[in-house]
Amino acid sequence: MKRWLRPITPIIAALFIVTACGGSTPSAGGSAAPSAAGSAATSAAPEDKELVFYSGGDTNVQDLHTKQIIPAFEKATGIKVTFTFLEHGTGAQGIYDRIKAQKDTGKAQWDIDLWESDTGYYTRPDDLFLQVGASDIPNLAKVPKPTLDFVQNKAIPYRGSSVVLAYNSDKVTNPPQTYDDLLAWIKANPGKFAYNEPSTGGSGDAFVISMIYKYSDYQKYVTQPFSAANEKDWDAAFAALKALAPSLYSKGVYPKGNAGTLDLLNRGEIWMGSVWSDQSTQALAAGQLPKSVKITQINPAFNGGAAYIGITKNATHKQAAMKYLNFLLEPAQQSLIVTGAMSGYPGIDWQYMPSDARTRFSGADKEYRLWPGGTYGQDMQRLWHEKVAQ
Amino acid sequence: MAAQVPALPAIRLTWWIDDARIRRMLLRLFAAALAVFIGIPLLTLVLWSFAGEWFWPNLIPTQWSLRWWQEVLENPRVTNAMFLSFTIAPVVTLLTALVAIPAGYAFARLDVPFRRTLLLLFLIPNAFPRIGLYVSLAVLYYQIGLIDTYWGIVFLHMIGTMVYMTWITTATFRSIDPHLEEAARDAGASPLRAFFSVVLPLAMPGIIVASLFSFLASVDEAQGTLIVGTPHYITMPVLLYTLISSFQRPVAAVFSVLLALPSLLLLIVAQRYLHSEYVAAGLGRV
Amino acid sequence: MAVVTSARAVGRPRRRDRSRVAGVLLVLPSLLYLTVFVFIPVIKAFATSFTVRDRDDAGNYTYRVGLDNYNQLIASDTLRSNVIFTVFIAVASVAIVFVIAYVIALALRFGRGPSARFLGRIYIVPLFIPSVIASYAMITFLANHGFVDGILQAIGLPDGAFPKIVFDWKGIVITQVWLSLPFMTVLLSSVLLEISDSLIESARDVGASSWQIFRHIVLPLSAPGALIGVTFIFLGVIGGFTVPYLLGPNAPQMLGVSMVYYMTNYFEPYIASTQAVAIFLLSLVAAVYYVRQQFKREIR
Repeated sequence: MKRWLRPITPIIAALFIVTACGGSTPSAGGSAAPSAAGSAATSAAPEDKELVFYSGGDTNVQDLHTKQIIPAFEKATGIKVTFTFLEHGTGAQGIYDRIKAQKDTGKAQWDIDLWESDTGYYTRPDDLFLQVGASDIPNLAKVPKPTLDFVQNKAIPYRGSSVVLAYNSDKVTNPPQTYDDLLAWIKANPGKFAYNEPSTGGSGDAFVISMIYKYSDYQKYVTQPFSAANEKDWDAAFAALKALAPSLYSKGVYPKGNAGTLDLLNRGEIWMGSVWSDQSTQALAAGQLPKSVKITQINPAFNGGAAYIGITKNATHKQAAMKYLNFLLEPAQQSLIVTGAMSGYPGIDWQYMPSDARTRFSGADKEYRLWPGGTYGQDMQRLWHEKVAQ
Repeated sequence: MAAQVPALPAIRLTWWIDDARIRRMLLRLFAAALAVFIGIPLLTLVLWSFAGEWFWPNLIPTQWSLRWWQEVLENPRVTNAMFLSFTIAPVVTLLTALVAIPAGYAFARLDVPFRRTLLLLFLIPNAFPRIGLYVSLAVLYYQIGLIDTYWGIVFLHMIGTMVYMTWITTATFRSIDPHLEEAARDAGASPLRAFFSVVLPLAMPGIIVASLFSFLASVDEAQGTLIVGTPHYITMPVLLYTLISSFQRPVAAVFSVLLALPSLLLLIVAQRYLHSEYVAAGLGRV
Repeated sequence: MAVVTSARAVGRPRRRDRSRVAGVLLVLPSLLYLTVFVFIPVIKAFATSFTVRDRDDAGNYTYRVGLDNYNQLIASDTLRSNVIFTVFIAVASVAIVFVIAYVIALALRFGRGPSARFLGRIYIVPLFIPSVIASYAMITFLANHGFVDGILQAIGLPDGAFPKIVFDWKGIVITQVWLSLPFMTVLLSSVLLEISDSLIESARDVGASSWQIFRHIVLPLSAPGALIGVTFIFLGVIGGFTVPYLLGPNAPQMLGVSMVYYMTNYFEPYIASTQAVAIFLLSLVAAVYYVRQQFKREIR
């Protein structure tokens, strides 16, 4: 996912944006052009027999679909899925351009049915994605409404992750339950907590965001469009973060990258840190973190996000696409996401998950908060550097 | 030119420099300190690569393990990246040489218009922050389709190598007595023949030194390759760079050793060319 | 020039013209390459630095031409301290590596004994270590609770007393010194080679001490060449990214690092370009000096 490769994806995204501002757009398909289904699109027959699915991201996403979900789906429904995967999500803009080109040329049936990519694409004004509801995909009733609202129902959250609090249970017997408890703990145990520099990893961002939410109204950020006026609340948050610095690791050293915090935790330099749920769980499973490290979610929760898949508005195989998504949201498949190598949260609400899946994240199997990112995110990182870093 | 030696007072603060014993002792201390400064950091990396378990405050790992070496060497990304790094570097060096040596010769021997300005311009790649160039270059690459291509990376590496090659070879050619070349021409050789038989062999030490710097510069290049080479062309430094942000110290340590080893082998081979006389010749007795 | 005895003497003016044409042709490929891959991006960066982007309350952008970016570079506390920090690091690194390299070069030139020979073998090693590895090695070596801290504490240093070197300006300077040492030493050695033994000996005959020989003969004669090495290293350090990114503090940042953050994280490509231009202008002073020194030697 994006945050794993922080240095790369924003650069590429920024480059595209800069090129667009410069007046020239990169030629569509200039990046690696994945092979299409090849065969002519089947007409909208009563029963779709095929499905074209494009995806991207880390290899565990690829493995999940190709090794687990798709074989089971093909067996259950007989629908053949043509799956194309873009490594690390590069070339996403090229795929978007390709879909848009089909809309612009008035094509009635588009050659891509399902697309899994960065959240921001689904709500762009170009209106390329189909709004769906529980009548189309029954299992949507199990999905928490805020995550659907976040993309105006134009895509399905099928997995997620959030930032959580990791702690060394040998040293910390009673982990803090709320954000204020956490702040008090940090002051009482100087040098034993760290969060990474916000521009380098999302887990550090989350700690700062929680402070922002402490001094500003959360609803303003998730229900309203961007307004620079909201950032006036941030002064108090940054002042609090700056005052916290002397109690942090090495009196205010912020490691670089999500892995930086995990490294400190691993070596016993700190006893607590903010980490990603999936990154830490995978590390624990692989024996890269000592068993004494446990995770928990505080209240109000650190932020997280879902990964979405969207159906294109004029997809050729709409029904098959909806079937795939419904299949994906079944608790059985969602368990694969939770208990497998991906170590993700389910897309559906935790209450629908079987208990063995819930134990994997016990302590953290709660709803997370959202952060709009975008312009707020850029400003947050820049202002943190100006006001808090030393 | 004779230096004006001032009148000598009886005792001076720097008397100890002339005392051979003290000088020898100080030099020994200095050499030892330098050995520690240069060698020990590299040694700690080697230790980390074999560390099964190494927690503070132990000075050496408490458990040794080959596990990380196994993990790394079994990873096809590693062998691919190493192969890529050490095959791109010679290509870059060769291409740069093909382009820069003629330019060096021209600057040294021929009447190039605006010679001084051009030489200054040739220094710009070093004067402008490389990372700024790379970002602009990436935008250009997207427009002309060079992103994520082999040649895109080669051309980018050449930015760093061009300066060395041009300046060093210019100085090298300048230091070769023009009479030798004229004599060959007068004896009937064509300009090309004179170049290859007379000038080039004499310029070899400088060219080798320049090639060495270029090769190492290409192997070292991480930032630009990270931007324009992903996702398909991952060189060793890029891989190492992304690994340093991972928290498995031993894995990054193994990588570092793997990346440093061929370079150090090159060091042993290149020892003889790095004597000051060669470099002086190469740098045109700077 | 050589006495020309063949018929070629007649064609001298034509030869000169051919020389011009040949000169242009030989330089053309590299010039072409540099234009596409260096000069054009540099010009674009300059142009971008004069583009000012304003943002209204709702997050909409408007663009205009102006000097605001440069104003911000000077007025903003963060950016201004980044500029000062960058210059400070470059100057400190260069000064320190100069001293150490000079000692090594002197030992190589005038020293006999095993120590001098050993120095001759070891100083070149950092040249063969990529900067990413060197940075990483320095982190494990000099971090708090790193190798050196461990040794010092084993002999009695209290925990926490070890100074902050990694994630601090000291870490950047030390690593840059480590990396620049070979190049500087090589340069200084070759410069010292030019100073003939007979010159030194005649000074000795007059009764000069080693220090006086150094101060009044060696140092002045080596100065032009040495300063060329200094400017070359200065250029490398001032625009650097890898070392300051891995070893530097969270704030202030060297301009090379700050530039990347502004570009990719804060989505401020125009400020980023301005920082790039600032580095370039700072380097230009050194670069121009370097070139003039080269030309001075040519006249000789």
